[in-house]
Amino acid sequence: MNEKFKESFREEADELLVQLESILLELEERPADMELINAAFRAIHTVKGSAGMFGFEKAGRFTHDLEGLLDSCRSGRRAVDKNIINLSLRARDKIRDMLAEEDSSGPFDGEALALMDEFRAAANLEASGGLEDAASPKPASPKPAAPQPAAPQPVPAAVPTEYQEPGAAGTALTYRIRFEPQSDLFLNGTRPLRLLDELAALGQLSPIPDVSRIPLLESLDPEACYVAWNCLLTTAASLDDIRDVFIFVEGSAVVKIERIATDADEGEPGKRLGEILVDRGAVRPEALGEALRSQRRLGEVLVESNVVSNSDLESALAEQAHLKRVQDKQAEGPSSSIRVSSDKLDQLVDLVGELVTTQARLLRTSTDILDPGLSSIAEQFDRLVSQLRDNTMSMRMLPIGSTFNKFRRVVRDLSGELGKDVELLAVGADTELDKTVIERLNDPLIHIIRNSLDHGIESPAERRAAGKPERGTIRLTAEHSGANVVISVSDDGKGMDLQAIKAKAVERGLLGPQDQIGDAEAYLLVFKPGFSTAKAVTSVSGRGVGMDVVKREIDSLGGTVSVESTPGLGSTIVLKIPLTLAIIEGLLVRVSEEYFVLPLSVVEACVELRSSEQDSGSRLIRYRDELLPYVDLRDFFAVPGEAPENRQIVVVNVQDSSVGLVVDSVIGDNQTVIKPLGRLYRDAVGLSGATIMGDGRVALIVDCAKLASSAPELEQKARAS
Amino acid sequence: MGADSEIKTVSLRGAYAIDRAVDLARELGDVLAKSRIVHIDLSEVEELDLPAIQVLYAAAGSALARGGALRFVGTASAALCSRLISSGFSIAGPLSGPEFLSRLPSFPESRP
Repeated sequence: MNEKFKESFREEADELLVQLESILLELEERPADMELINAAFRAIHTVKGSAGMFGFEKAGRFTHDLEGLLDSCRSGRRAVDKNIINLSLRARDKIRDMLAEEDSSGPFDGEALALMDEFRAAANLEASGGLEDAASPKPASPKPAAPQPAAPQPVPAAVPTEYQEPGAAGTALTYRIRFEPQSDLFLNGTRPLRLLDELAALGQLSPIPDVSRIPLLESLDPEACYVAWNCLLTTAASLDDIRDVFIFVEGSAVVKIERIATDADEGEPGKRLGEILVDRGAVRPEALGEALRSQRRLGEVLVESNVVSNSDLESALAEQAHLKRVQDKQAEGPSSSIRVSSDKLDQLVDLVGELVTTQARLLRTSTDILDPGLSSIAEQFDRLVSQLRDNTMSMRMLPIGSTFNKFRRVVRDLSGELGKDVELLAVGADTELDKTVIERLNDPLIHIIRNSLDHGIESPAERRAAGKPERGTIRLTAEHSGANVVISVSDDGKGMDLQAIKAKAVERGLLGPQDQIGDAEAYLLVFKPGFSTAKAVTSVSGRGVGMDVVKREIDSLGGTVSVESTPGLGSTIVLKIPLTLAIIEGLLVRVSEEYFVLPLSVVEACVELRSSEQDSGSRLIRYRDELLPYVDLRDFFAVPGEAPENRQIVVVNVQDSSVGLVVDSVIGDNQTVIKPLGRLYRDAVGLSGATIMGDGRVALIVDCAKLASSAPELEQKARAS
Repeated sequence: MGADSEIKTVSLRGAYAIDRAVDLARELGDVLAKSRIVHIDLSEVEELDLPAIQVLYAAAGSALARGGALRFVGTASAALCSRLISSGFSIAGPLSGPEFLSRLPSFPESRP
């Protein structure tokens, strides 16, 4: 089997398993929701089918057994309970491991065999307490008053062969779908509106309900289904995907799917109503000809003469409108997507980084040579490279929601382990940031959430005693703020004990007994290495390892951490992270012969530092009617050489406070390709990376947050001296 | 049948899934027996599943057959409307009662 196909399957299976995890967690909340049971079954059914096809035999056999378990729930033989959810989640993790194995033909390990035994045992268990009050649907019972459509057929296999696959490279095709449920459809737990939601998720859907069979109230059986649908669906999904939507109503509905040619397929202008009606078999061509001879509107004539029903006419008109919309959309240009491996994307970003550096050299060289022709080319090249850089960076932007979903499982498993009842709410899952940043945020966020669960949220009994709901809440939010993303994790637990934190900090030597620090600063003590206020060490936290890792990782991402807490009400940890780590807009400055880059996103202003202010020694200048502390980069980085008489202060704003950075001169803006500092410089204070300039020299990227935090201390030292 | 001119308003509240369809049909049947015109207030409806929609169609048909009418009043919330878009029973809301009615395909109503 071609490795490329295998890898492609792995990626798709991974997405399905992520989806399955999410469905199972929802199912745990709503164990009687048949749509969720069906969705879980479908996900696992797809993994099973494809696993076998791509040579993952072991995973295929294992998945087959899990499918059996879910099938027993789907068919009502087994109720969904905690055990089923636990087993399915463990099985899902095991399938993921199996798919990652190089050799998929080996024997099952002990864990897999034990799980398979558990599947079979669970599947054979009859649900106690009856299925009607749990997850299973009521047994179907026919209602005499309700209409019975023609004998149900499976989703037709007789669709012409050329319609079996979607168009090349995801081209959207249009299908006409007739969905005619039997009257007892509701009784097996199916909700037709949900099926239509699923259908709508596949593409552009125009549904036309056929309500002609609904009787008067006196004859109505409220639990019978009377409505059918004629739908038009334009989708790049395959016919199998469409059939899959109806997979669980095969025995209780008539579903007819046929592909229809759009005008774009045939290169024709919009279809006429008459053509559509003939095409749908609603009217004979002769009757159409007769109606057309009248000078009145075709639809009215056909309905008045009882050639077509109102419902047929409505359907045909909706089809005409749908095809027009599709045609208009196609005229706007195709929109499709392709799957690209993240390695290739990383390579592309690296190459663009090199290109940006080379472009800077070209621009500099053209300036030196003073050749107008070359300068013009270099400037045009500069614009193109900027666009290419922006496009490439946008390709790496992903919604943070994928990471948020993982945390639901963490919260579920951990709250179970700790005997707590905790709900995770995620807001802003669509917020996009660089995929590398997302990957690196995973561990810090897990640490914060684990900490909230362990130290923040109280036990159900404690919460009850405090007058709170037994179920605690952790709220995860993400939102854009300029060139940053602000992520906050808040809980409604007991809040942080400021006195305990300070006492522990003194005990650990992190704070002097007489030291006076503000609340915000005191909360940040929990991020110091070795700090922990937990009285007992648990498997979750309390070892003092974790929160310092959070701070270190966020620092290395160029971000900041802050904490807010209210006793009895809960705590919030706020992370402010730059959108990307690869290429930033920077401000190039010079100190003696050294060059530094300041991230442009934090630069507020550039002002002149008068010699009188330099001489005062206070390290404070008056800026916009306020005193602004400043840090001299020459002193901070021990740059040799004499300072010139006239210098510049770059005012940066970090964590809502402004600080001045003194430099010899400001060169200008700079597209900065961030290169990590070598291992030797990992602990260099005040630097977050380096970049290569157009002339090949290295400029150091300043960690403005670190410099800003040291400004007050430097000011105090200056006053003392 | 009570006084023909009497208008009775039925306020629906919450989510109407299959478990409430029988009660809804009974309630509307009772109201139709006493009033010619029935107003359905949608302001506090969170969800209407297909069984409830069918009951409303059937009740409107019965009202029309008796020379009366079933109309919608109040505002159908954006959430309610959005749940009905995929099935063709609504467009994006919020919609006023008459707008909501006008988007229900072939809803039995008396022509002015």
